[in-house]
Amino acid sequence: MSSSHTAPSTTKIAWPSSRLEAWKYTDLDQWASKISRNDGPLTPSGWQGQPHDLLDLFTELHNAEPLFPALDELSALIHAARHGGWHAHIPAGTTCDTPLRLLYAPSVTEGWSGFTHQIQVDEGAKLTLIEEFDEGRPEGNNTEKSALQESDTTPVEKMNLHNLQVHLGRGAKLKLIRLFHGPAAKALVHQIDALQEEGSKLEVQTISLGSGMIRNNIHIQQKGDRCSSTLLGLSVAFGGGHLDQYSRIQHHALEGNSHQHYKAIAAPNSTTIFNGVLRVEPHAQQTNAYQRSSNLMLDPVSLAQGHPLKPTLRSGKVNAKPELQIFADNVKCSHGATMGKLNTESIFYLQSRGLSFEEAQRMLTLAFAMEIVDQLEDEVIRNKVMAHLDQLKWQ
Amino acid sequence: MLEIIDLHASVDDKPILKGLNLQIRPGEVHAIMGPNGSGKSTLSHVLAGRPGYDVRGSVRFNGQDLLDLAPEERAWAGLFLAFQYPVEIPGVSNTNFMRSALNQVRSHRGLPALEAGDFLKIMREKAGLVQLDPSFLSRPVNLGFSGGEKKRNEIFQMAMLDPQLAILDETDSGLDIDALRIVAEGVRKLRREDNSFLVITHYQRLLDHLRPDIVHVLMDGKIVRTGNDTLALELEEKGYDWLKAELA
Amino acid sequence: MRGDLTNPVPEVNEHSQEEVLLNQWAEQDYAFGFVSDIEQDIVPKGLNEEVIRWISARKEEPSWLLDWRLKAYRHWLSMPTPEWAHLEIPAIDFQDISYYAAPKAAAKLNSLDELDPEIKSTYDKLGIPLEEQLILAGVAVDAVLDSVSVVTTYKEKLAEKGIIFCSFSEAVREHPDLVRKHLGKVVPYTDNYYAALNSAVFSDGSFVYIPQGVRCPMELSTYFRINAAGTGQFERTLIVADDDAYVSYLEGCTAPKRDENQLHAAVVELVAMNRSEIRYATVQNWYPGDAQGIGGIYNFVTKRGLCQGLASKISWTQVETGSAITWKYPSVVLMGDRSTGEFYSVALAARAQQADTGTKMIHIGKNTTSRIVSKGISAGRGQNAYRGLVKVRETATNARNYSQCDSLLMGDRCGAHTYPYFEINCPDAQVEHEATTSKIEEDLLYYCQQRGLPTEEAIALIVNGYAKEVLDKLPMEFAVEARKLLAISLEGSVG
Repeated sequence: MSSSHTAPSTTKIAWPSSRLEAWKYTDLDQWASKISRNDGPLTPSGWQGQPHDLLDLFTELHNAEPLFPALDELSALIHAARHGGWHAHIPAGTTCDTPLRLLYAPSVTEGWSGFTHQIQVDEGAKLTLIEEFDEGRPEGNNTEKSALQESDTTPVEKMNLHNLQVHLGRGAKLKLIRLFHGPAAKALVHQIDALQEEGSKLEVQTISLGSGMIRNNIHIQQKGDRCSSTLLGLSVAFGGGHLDQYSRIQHHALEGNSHQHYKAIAAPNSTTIFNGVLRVEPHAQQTNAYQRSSNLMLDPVSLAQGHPLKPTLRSGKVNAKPELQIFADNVKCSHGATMGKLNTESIFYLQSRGLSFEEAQRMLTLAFAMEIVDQLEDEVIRNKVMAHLDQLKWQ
Repeated sequence: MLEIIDLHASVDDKPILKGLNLQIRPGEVHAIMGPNGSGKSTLSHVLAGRPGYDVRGSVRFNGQDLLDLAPEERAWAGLFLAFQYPVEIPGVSNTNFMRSALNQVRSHRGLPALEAGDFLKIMREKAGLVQLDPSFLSRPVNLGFSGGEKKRNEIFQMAMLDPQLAILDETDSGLDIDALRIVAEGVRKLRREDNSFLVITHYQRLLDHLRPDIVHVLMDGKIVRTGNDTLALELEEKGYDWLKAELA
Repeated sequence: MRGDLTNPVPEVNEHSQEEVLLNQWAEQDYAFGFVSDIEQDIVPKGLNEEVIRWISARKEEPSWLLDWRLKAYRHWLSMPTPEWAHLEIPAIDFQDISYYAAPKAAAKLNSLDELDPEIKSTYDKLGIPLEEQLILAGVAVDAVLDSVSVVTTYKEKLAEKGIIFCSFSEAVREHPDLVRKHLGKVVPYTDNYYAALNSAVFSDGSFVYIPQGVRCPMELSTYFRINAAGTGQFERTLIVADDDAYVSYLEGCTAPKRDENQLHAAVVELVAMNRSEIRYATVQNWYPGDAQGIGGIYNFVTKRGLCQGLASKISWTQVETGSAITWKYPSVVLMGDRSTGEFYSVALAARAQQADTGTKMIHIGKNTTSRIVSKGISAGRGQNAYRGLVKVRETATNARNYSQCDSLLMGDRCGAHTYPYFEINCPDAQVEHEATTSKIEEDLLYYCQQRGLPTEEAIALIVNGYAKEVLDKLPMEFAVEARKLLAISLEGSVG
């Protein structure tokens, strides 16, 4: 499954400007400038559990038309400069009981590479897709990582840009469960553009872990009445990681539902960003929309207490921007955001029951993450995430 | 077992405990009563090692200097505080929490970690003691528990960790009659010759069940009167004003 | 609606009934839309260095101030016109505005008897009597008409305590050192486009200085009135509270009803020293334009307070019901340890109004606290946005912020938007934000109606309840005023 197509990696890309509100906290230009820019074809590997009747071959998509015109400049850019991608089509009334599982492995080439993928779920059809941007190539001798490590200095060799177009027909259901972690997610920009027809249901669960740069965009257009969109996310940034979660849900029709819950943990030296735009267009009456962003900052001073070397660390950063843009009156929309460190009262409570200060911190940090992890609807991903979090040394 | 000498504690330069003395021997049940703001809860938190207090004086617990110890070291040493306002911990199940805590405490008492099966057996047994519904064990610690359920969970945890000295900080507040009886029953079953209780309360009704050996009155940061359980009854009947007047 | 049985009226659905009411009320007069016939001294339209020199000379300013104005002007020239994502602002022709208008007999008066009777009657009509004996007990007023302060009351009484309360122009003449020390320190002329413009051409405003240890015995208040056509108002206010001082200050604003848009670009700077407290309240009722969006004031204001001292406190309260476009973010820089910033806002956008308002809380010192309560009301074709920033610098250990931003929608042609920004660089911070958007509870409305309240009264009641937390922060007389204003501004906006 190799591509003979050589895409113009050297094309000068006009990255979205950080002057744009949606890119206020992530300057792609700056990240891109860190990348060594050799061109070369991209060799994808590691598709798993691929039901051939549903998934078109990777190479065939070069000439495929997009499902719908690009929703923004970034997806247009990725489409124009794409190296390839896949296409899944679930015909009307088909229910795929086994989840489709895709593994993205980083290629050995450098530079940036673009992919456009498509999922068309027709009327009444149902699919669960699990994507892992994980492992692939061993990263040295994959030792434990510490949340307290200085910024990860391994060079960013390549940047991956993915655009996934999703079209859900009437009453269609799609569940996307994604894990971004490791070298494949070292510098990753992923954008979902989804169009939902009447009564369709979209669920997206995303876990981003690491010391790289991940920008995860989820754009949803609820075109038909009574659509529902449920987004769940956890970002854990450490070792200089920069994890930017951006979502934009636009309600165009009646009785739409959207529910978003994102959690983020920022270790010292690392940054998490949440920007969620919730837009209710005129006539999208009886929309019910809820958005919550909970952010935990790990305190470098408390963490260093338990560290043998007692390092001096800079605090992590949390940027959050939950936005409501409401143009219809008969709606119920709310959002909430919290930012802070672990509750000292809880730490004390745990200590008073015999747990050490370090263990109390660790237990509470993991518990913060588990609220999202527990809701992951795929055991394989859930176990992987738990293993990653368990492995992560907080001290 | 516990010897407090001239204990002072203040928060943000505001003195709360002003030279408190107290001695508790093994097997004794002490009650501390006192009006609001007299320093009852501060005393319990200072003993448990909550941060945020400036503390002077001496507290010895089985010969050890308690004030030198971190909160968890105090727990290992056998001190337990049943919180007046137990903390909710989303994401941590009661079971997980207790297993971590109990194994910590055991290892510091030179006991081996419990096998999962043994642990579960003990847990069910102790939950039965306070009639805590087993479904609560898999739920996150105190999350969404009613006031009474939280207090029962505290006594359950006390039973699990088997402390030498248990401080019950207003455990009776927010309990209805039945819950109060259950909690008191649980505490009574845990009484032995080698462990002790310090019960902080506003009201007589918990003391009716627990029968303290010694009753203290705490006012303005000091113990101003010590007696037997008739003192508690007297306070219940007459309030604190007569005592204030007498002292003035 | 209630036809008698013998002569039944055809069913009219509630919606269309409300439409009718809407149309009636949309024509509701803006109560303060009159024009006073006062002989005016107006500088010709246009903006250049000559005009700035003219204004400065006219006000007999020292050369340092002229230099500062010119620097600001040159900086302004270098700045691009701002474009804001969520406001539709027609291009403003800055050469088509007159930058100075003053009543002819504008020399500061020695006594009220010398005041032009037409000016006095203007303020009487606005409900702001300028005679000290008639004035609301305990409120001192500085009345600013177009570009100049026409009268300041209770000056002598305040002077006994060492309090300076006067027009800005007078402060430049009488207290140049104080002005020079603080002017532009909180809002530098480089801050933003309209702050630069204001710094170049500002005319009048109020100056307040409360000396160390003094609690200002009465509310201080400035009443801003735009009267002349084709002019802009560019007032500048500076309030300094020295160590352990306290002051509560109020401003009110109105303008005549005209088809043209008029620009109001003010700058307000507050400085709070150790343990001092400044409370600043605004009831803004500039002419909002008509239901079709013709006319109205463009209200582009930069307001910022600096909590310079330890444990100092600055509290902003605003009731924004007027203006065609409002662009305003009263902010607090929490520099001193243990300082506190507050922002309480009710903003209403009815007719075709656009409001983009909110605050910035910049935490720099240790143990600083801020609180934001914003209540937006959108009606008619109004677009109302809350935009706010909570920034916690790495130095600001143990910072606390709580924000609550609610939006109320009335009708399906308006919009309510919330854009909170959080930039937290210190893990000690505890920041919490909640926002809700909803329409008026129908059950509540129904309940009030069932108890006999007419729809519009029921709405006024509910809206006032909704805004109560903010209105309660106003001094009582003004709270009453603000409640009335909200009710009037909402009349007919219900769809």
